[in-house]
Amino acid sequence: MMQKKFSISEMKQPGENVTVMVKILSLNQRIIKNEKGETLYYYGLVGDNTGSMPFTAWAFPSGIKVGDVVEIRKASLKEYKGSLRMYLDSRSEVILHPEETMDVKPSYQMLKISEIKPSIRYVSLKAAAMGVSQRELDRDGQKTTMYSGRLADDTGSIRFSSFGVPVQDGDQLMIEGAQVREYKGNLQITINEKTKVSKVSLDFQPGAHTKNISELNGPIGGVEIFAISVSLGEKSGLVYRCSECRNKLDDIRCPDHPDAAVAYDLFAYFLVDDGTGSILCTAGSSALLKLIGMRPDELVPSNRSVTGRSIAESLRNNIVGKALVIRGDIVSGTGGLSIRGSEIFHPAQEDLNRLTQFLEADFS
Amino acid sequence: MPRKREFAHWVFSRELRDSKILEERDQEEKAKPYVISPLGTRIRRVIIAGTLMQKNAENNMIKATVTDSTSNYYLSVFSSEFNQNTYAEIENIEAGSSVIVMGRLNPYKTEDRLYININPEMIARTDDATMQVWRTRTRHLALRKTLGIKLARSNPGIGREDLIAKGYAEEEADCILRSVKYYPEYDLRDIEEILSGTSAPPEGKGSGEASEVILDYIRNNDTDGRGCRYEDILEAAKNAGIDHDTLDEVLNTLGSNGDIFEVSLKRYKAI
Repeated sequence: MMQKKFSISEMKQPGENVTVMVKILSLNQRIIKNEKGETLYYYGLVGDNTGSMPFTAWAFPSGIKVGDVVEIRKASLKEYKGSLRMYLDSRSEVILHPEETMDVKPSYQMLKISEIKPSIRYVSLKAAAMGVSQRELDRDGQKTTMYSGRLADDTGSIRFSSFGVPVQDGDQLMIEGAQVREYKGNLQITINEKTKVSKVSLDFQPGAHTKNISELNGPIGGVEIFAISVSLGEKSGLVYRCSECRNKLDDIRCPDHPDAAVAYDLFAYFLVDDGTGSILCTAGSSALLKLIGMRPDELVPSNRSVTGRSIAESLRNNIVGKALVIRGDIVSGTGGLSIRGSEIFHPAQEDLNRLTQFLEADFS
Repeated sequence: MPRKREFAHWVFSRELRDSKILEERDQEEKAKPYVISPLGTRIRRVIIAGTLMQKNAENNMIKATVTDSTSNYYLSVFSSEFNQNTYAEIENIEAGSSVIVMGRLNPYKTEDRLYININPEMIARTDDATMQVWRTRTRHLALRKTLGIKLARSNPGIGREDLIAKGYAEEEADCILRSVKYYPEYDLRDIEEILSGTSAPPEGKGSGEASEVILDYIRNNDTDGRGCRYEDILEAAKNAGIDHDTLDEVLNTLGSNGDIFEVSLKRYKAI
């Protein structure tokens, strides 16, 4: 007997033996390692003209790629983290329909920035634009203005790029149907001509938000943590760069620019703990110079007091065993989450008062 | 697969001092057992802060006492090839300095008592702001658990999911239920007093005076040269108005100072 083909919008309950005709919108693979060995699985998003749905496949044909229209048979629908997800196993069939084309209705949820995950393809949000810059691009022979900066709400911030849709610094916006992307462990959203952008009045105060380390569960920007550093990575310290190309030098000369002068830079990585968990913090010279009380113009080769040893000692004295206020972005990498500190400082009394208020809010 | 980093708990020394339970484990497991504290915290590693009160070097080990004003932590730092930096750090820190320590617990259980030493992995001089951050956070963590334990005690049968639904994290819910299981009679009032910042000094003799009494007793009563039995010292301490916990602290401190040593199990001799 012919199985009924469901549209995405019709699939509202968990079920077995489901047949659908869908377009592959995204396709990724991941390996789970455990005591029994390694298991490869696939995950992504499928859609049709009524909506889209995430899927997980324990088996998947190798020739199928993003954009293909496929008929999926004997799939199951299960609830995962409060929403319905399609599961494919060895009994499921995936049949390619190379002659078919399909328009997909974008579907997106209204989310806070802290709720945006790499697995979500489109999103709507209310946020304020900050640090916006613009530049002209040539896309397929057409001149386009790209606006980039950060969008912030009362849970965090996220990088954005807007192609052709004007966004100004300080704009308070309602953005519907922006695309979510992950690049080098950072989440960012893209606004294009299909995204609806309107000006609104926000009912919250955007800015850096204090979090417990235990609350951090994915990439997000605009986070502030209060923590104590318990280590300093051995390779933290003075970094030598080519003044021409800014590449890190292993030797005193840049292989590409042997006549260029050496420039100094700083880098540090250290583990911080706040009593609810720990996280690796990485930081470059802009954050570290302020922390060790040095001006940028002092970090130059002509300054004889700057040596690898003096910098290492200064970093150790200011980081290890010290409470730090760290503001920055949470980044996802192969070793898990880390925080890229853009501003790091020792807490003053007003910061300590803020920490107390943050913790006492639990009991109010 | 990378091993998960052992969680470092921020705990007041009083919570450690009142711990009586060691988690049972497989005989084959090499790591030290977890200590279960009265607030249900399952501890193998800690981050503590306080004032370094004293330190003594003997052979290739430094013993030190750190106080956070609720009680004392006892540190043992061995000089080994894996621990040179920590050993060098503590050698250079003077008594009276504020320190922050991350270390692993080294518990030792006798029939009636659990002794807990900390083997530091990191020790550093620190500043007032760090001490304040540590105290504020440690107080907050303990206060949340204390409120949860009271809630669980007054609602027998309350489960993990119920506690999570009331806003406790999974880890906190586990702590609360462990406390109810292992320490049903533990008096939370002392901890609450500490957390409210109104802790009164312990009744009876101060630890300085108590040290003198105990040291005198051990010096004067080691009649057969085999050291004084713990039971006899305890009896003498009670007669002098020194309670059980204070005696244990005094014996630890006298040992750290190099005034006495444990000549055999539970027998103490003056040096």
